[in-house]
Amino acid sequence: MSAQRIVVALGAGTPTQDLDAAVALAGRTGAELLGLFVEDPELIRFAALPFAHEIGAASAARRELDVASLERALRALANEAERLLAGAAGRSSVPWSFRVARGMLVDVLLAAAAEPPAADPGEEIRLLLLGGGASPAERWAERARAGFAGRDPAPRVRIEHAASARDLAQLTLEFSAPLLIVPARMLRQT
Amino acid sequence: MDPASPAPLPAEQLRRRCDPARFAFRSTEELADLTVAPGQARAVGAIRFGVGMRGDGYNLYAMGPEGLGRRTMILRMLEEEARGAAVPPDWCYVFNFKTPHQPRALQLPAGRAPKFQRDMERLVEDLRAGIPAAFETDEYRTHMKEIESAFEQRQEQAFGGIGDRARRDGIALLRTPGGFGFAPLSKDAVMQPEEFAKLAPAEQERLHKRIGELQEELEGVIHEVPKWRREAQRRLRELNRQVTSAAVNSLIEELETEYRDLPEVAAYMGEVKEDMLDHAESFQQPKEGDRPTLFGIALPLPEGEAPLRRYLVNVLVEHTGAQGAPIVHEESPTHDNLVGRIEHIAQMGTLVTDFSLIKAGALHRANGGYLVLDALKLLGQPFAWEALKRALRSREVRTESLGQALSLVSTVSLTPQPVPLEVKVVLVGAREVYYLLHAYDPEFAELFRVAADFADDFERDAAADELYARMVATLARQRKLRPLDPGAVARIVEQSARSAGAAGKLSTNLEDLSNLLREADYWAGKADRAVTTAADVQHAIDAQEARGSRIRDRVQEAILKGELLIDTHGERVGQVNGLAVTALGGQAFGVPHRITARVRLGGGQVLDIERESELGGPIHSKGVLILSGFLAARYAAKRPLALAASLVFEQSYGGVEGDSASSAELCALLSAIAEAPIRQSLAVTGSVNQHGDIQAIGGVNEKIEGYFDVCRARGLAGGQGVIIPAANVQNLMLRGDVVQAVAEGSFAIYPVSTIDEAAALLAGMPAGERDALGAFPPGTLNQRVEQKLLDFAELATVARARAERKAERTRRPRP
Repeated sequence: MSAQRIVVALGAGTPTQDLDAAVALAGRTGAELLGLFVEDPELIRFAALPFAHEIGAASAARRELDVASLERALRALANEAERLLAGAAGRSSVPWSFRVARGMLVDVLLAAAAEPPAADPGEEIRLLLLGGGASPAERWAERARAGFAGRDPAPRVRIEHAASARDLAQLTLEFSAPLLIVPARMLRQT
Repeated sequence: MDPASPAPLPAEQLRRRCDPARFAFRSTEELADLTVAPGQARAVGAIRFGVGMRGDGYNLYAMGPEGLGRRTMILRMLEEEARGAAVPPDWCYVFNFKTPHQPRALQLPAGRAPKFQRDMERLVEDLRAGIPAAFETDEYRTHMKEIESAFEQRQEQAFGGIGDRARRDGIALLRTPGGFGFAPLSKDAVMQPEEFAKLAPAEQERLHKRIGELQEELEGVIHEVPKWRREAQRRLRELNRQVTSAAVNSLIEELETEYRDLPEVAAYMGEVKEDMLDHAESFQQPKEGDRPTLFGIALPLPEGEAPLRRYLVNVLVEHTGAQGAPIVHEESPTHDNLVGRIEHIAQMGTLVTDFSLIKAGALHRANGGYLVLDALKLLGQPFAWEALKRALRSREVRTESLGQALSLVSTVSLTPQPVPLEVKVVLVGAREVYYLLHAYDPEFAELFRVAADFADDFERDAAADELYARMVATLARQRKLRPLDPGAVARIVEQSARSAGAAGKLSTNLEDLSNLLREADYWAGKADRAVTTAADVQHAIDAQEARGSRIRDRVQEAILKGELLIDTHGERVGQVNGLAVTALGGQAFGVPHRITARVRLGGGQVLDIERESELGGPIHSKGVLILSGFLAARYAAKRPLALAASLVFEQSYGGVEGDSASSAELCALLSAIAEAPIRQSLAVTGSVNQHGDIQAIGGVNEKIEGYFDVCRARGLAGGQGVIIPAANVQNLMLRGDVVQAVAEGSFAIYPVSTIDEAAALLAGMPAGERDALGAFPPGTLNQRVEQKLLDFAELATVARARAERKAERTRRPRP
């Protein structure tokens, strides 16, 4: 099977090896690479609350959060993601585009993946889930299936999970283009 | 001539010939090699003793001038001694795991170090393949994943637990760009701010409180995460160690068995094993992406920091296949060449080093054997002498760079463990250096207890000529020269006696002998002869002399042209031909000098013009002062010496030193006082003491020949000759042409033992001895001298009386 588009979910701290894998796959299959940075509307809403606080993931420090600073942070992350994608794709001369979308991560990603002409209706949609444990991957797959269930005709969703960089390298070699690549950190954000 | 005056020497006494007929061989090919140079029994005995004597400080100093073959003889004797000695152990430097900046010195039996080095290289190579393989096994990967997922699960459970509890209270745990946040929920979505504002104050308060509690709980969990990560890492390390040890143990055990007989090496292997287990990751090949880059370009792995280098072995010295103790002759004894050096390599602009860059010095290589050094070269190298003494005194070699020892540089460096030292050092040098070191360096006498003093010459007895012939044969063979016939050898023996400066001695200078042999061989080759003959030797000697004779010829030319005034015939009052030797560039030649004396009434001083003009050396001045003593005691013992005399070396502008002209000066003085003319056909040499005895001088042959050359150039008219001290007759080894002239009666050599003999010869009148009444016979030289001094004394008395009367008159008061 061939695909015209590979969507790679980008977020804070997407590992370069995942990005490289996506680029390699796009290069091999001749597909266009779309980097998608998803802003969660829930987060924006949270930041608007008067008592919103952020607790540092590493420092455990408590910081006040407001909408403006959150949007600044998200913009900075999006820029960083775009820069990474440009770097990785530029090195391999793979055509690429980048987009920032707001919405529930799963929905936005699946919508982008299913957008014509990426996949004909009724065709199989492949998800390549990278890193992380098996259980979040499984949860993610559930959400994806549920998301596509309402469509007519519902596309078949096939999930591949690569736990390590080695597995990933193996998978990108064995498989033709999946339509969606979701790195580990994104898997947890469901 | 006065019949009492000394007779000239017969021609046979002017040169002790070596008769070719006394040699039984036809060419030197028939002669056996000489193993020990003749005349060096004292030195040989000292070397034997010094080499054989064990114990601290019994190092040798071989002293003597250049060219005596000291190095050759010492090396040969050391070889004999070393052949039977045990081969010393090999030494290696290895990494010190406890204190990395102090590399460890390991001793291995002779010849085993290279094998040890190869074994360690192979071990590292095997492990480089073996350890990564162990990490690729399913067993390892399963365990590693288990540890990783346990950590992740723990984290997830903790965060998930908080999220679940929060959700039960209507609160969501959100992931923010920098961390986490808690938001109240409304219908499974984050509550809008307006919605929250509409809530009852009690509900708002509840949510606030609950969010605060959850935040605290989350903070607690985040604080725990590093602990869990450490725990996971510890477990991972443990796993790595288990996996590595399986690979390492089997390989190291083999080596441990092989080196069980060497406890130090076995202990080192134990440390290697522990270190390998702790640093298993070093054996993983670095991936392309992991290599350090600069502007995107991958840099080569820094060699000095390559982690596996630490398991390699730096073989400092090894004696594979060696027989006996080592003999090292270090031609360039710099500090670093003696004690070894620590090299540095440049790495991205910095200098780094490690134990593998330690290089052995001469002391390491000579350890267990002998080290031969040139004393002067050693002393000329900054800090080399101090380093050698320190090593000998402490009996260990400590390798440190000079910059480090003097705290001049502050690059990262090493302090290698010192290597125990057991060496015998032989210094080869000049006698002056030995005596100076002895006088000024208190440690020298303790460290160099044996002096091998090489003789400059040896007695030329009947057997000596034969021995010398064998020496000539040996050298000719060693240097691959034509054999020599007996005539050539005889001529060489004579030349050797001449070099020794004594007819009864032969020179031990092998360098000069070798040069003469080589040059004679060259001339024999030019003449197309298979055997070197006396003519070739003579050719070589003449050519040597001709090459260095420019100055001599210039001086002679000046004399013959009358620029330098030297009379060789006629008579003159107060003027005598003295003789001096000039030594330049290894060649010496004699030059006649005009010495003149003038006298007048005076206060008893003999004025040495050379000294007054600062052209005379102290020994020359001493000679002149002795003349005053002699004059006063002999002729004016009972009355004042009312004489003022001046003495000068005419046309001497370069300074005069030595007292060998003092007899000539005295003769000039006596002639001037007595107004007795002196025969200018004679030249005089010899020093004189206060009693008028003539004493031996140096360079007698050159002096005679120098005067002879001038006389011959002007034409030998007969009656010309040289007066020499009788004590110097034994030193006569004159040129053939001089001997021939004497034999023909056209030249003469007069040996004298007193100044009277010399003066009588020169003045052509008897010197005269005091009779029973203490008076010199009338008409003798001494009588004339005494009379003149008496006259001077009386004149002085009269003059003094007149002066006193005048003084009296001037003092008396005028009426």
